[in-house]
Amino acid sequence: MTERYDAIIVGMGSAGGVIAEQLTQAGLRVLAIEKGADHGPEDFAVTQDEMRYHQNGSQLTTIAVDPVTWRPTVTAQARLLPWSSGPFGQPISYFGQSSTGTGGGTLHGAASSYRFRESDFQMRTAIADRFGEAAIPDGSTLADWPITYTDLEPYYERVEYEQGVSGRGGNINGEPQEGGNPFDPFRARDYPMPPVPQGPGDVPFVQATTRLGLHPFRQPVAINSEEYRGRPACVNCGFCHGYPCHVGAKSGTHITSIPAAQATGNLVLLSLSRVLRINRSANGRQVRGVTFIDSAGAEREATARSVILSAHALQNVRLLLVSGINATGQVGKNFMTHNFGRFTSVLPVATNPFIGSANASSAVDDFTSEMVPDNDLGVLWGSPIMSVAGDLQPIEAYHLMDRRVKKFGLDLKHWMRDNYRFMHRMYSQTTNFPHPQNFCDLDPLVKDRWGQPALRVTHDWTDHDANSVALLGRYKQHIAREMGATDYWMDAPRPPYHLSTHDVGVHRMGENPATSVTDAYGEVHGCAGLYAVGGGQFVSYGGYNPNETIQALAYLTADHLIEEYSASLAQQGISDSD
Amino acid sequence: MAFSTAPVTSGYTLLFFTPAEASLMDALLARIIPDEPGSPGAKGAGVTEYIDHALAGNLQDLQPVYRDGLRALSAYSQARFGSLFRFLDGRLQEAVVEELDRLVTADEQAFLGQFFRIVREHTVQGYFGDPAYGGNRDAASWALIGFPGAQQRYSNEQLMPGFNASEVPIVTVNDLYRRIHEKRHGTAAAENDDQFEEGAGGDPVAVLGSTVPADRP
Repeated sequence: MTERYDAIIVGMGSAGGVIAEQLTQAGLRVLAIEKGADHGPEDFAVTQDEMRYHQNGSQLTTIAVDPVTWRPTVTAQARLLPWSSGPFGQPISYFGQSSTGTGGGTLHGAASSYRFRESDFQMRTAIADRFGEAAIPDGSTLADWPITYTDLEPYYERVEYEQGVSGRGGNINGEPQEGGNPFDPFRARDYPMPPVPQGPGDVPFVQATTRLGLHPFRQPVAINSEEYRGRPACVNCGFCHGYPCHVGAKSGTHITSIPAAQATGNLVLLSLSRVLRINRSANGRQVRGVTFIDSAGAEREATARSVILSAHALQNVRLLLVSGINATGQVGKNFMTHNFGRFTSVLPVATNPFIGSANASSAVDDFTSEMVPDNDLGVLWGSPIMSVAGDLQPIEAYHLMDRRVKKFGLDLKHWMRDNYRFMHRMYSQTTNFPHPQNFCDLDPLVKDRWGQPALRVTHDWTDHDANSVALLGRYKQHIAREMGATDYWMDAPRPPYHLSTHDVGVHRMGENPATSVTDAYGEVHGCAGLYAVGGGQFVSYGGYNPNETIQALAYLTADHLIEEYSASLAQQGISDSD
Repeated sequence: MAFSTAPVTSGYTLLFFTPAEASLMDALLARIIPDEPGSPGAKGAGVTEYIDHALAGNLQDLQPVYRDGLRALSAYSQARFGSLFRFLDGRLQEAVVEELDRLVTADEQAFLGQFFRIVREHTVQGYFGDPAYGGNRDAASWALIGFPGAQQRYSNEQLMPGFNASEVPIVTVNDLYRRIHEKRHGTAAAENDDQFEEGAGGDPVAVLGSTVPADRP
């Protein structure tokens, strides 16, 4: 029996939760299909367990359920990613993809909530203007976005107010704001809450960067710094990145949008249910619905006028491809991901790195995006440098240890004894350019337990990617020295990872169907009513975390869907009266 | 015939290792994170128990890796120094571990190196993870490095520079569940505990109240 809805949303995470709330409040009957659990607050009453959440990744998917393979180039044999199969040959969970269940990536993220800069939407033009068209790497599909920062500004504000973001705006309608980031793009309103309290390790970072003539600012985070909309302020427990929040201070959609959607009575939420394929009309031009497996293992079909994929960029791509939807061959192209350039220091003062959330700290934007200094490494686009104050538990600290230290015997034991309480971290987020050599498609050999092909990622770091890490590493080194660090070290510029929750670009939006997958509202070219929303829509990538832009795009899509729904009701109204 | 009730290891029930394997594990772990007077290392903190129990549970896929790995370690010690690992003196044990550590990066195909990488990872987990997993007895590693454990909140004042976190009594996950239980049942100790005072949803007793089994310790 076919079930009929106004809209079907696949994935109840960051974007899906937002869209569910908007559509149900506008009166649409919505079916939400979520492969993970429907999390209630009682699930996370005790989260202070590094083994359960950070090592075993209890809320994440596993390679046995959602296999992803990787190869550096098209000539290499793809294999299950080293950490996704578990470094111990175990099908353990991995952080390559978002948390599953209601809330998705907003459950486990450290909740950085940045807007992109004006230039991030026009990266190709900005690079060509400054460095010349010839500077853009050969073959790169780098392009400007079909929308600008100004288009998205009101939607960013909605994320900040409706989800709850703490920070200090640096530029309100062109007026510089004391204590804010002087490089901020304009905003109509300040954040609804002041920044969260700053961890001790961030104090030397702010002092050092100020002395160096840089401009530290407090990072915006989707964490309550004070009680907001009935949810409490952060209590600084220090189990944040990789952990659901035990008090509900982190603005996850499982406690913001999804309960609001459920309160309308218009949402049918099927958790532990998995979409197998998207169904279309015979000519493929109109979406019809989805076929899915429910929590009891029964295969079911549902139909709707609109189907919205919000299952994370990579899973959106997998669903499109297994459904045979790739008319112009663009699905899965333009894969982009962040290279985090992690930099660890040991400071002369106690940093208590286990107190407070990771991003209860500052950053500098002096080297970000178009502000990248002239340099001898040919780096064309910069990144913020973020200070990480809290949220460092002992096992993770061991993994960050200096490679030069012996990892056994008293060397290991005494290193942890003498240094753990003094550790400070910095990172940047540089990215690869969109390029035909980086893409994802279906793996021809590896299948999941439902018999569907695994996603295959083809990606490798280029010289530009490595040079970007090296360049930002120089600045981090200056900062570490100025902080008086007694020791410091950094990640290799070509890290072993190629998959993270920050993967984007693979269902790019654009006006031209020959070079993109969706339009600016996320509607898939050539298939009316089918939407693919999220980081997959990004056209280029700067150094900020993707989530606030993902949610801003979700609000944009929701508005568009509601307008269409109202227009169709009006039309029906007219035909009824005829 | 009567079974002996004396523990063959230091007070816990083996679920996977044979007694000989457990002894060899103890000897190997003692070289990865050594015991010192007044400061237990991996052996003293019960990491062998963590690994043994994990191998009987969520790490069961690795049972053959451990069984073969320990046999390979014995064979290597025998061939190189003419004796089983656990009977070598400290200097020679150190030399064996040095070689295993070298193999981890020098030869990704070397089984002994890969085995050592796995053992070391699990040793770190058992030593620094919550005592609920069977290692980190008495939260010894947390006391060593100054980690106050499973704290559910710090005040904004404690977040400021200069706060001496070693003054905070260490808390484990088990303590959190015990407090929830006690507060649920209204004991005086829990009434005076401000750990859970904060905010809506911040009180796991209110949240968990009806779901915590009454017989939970």
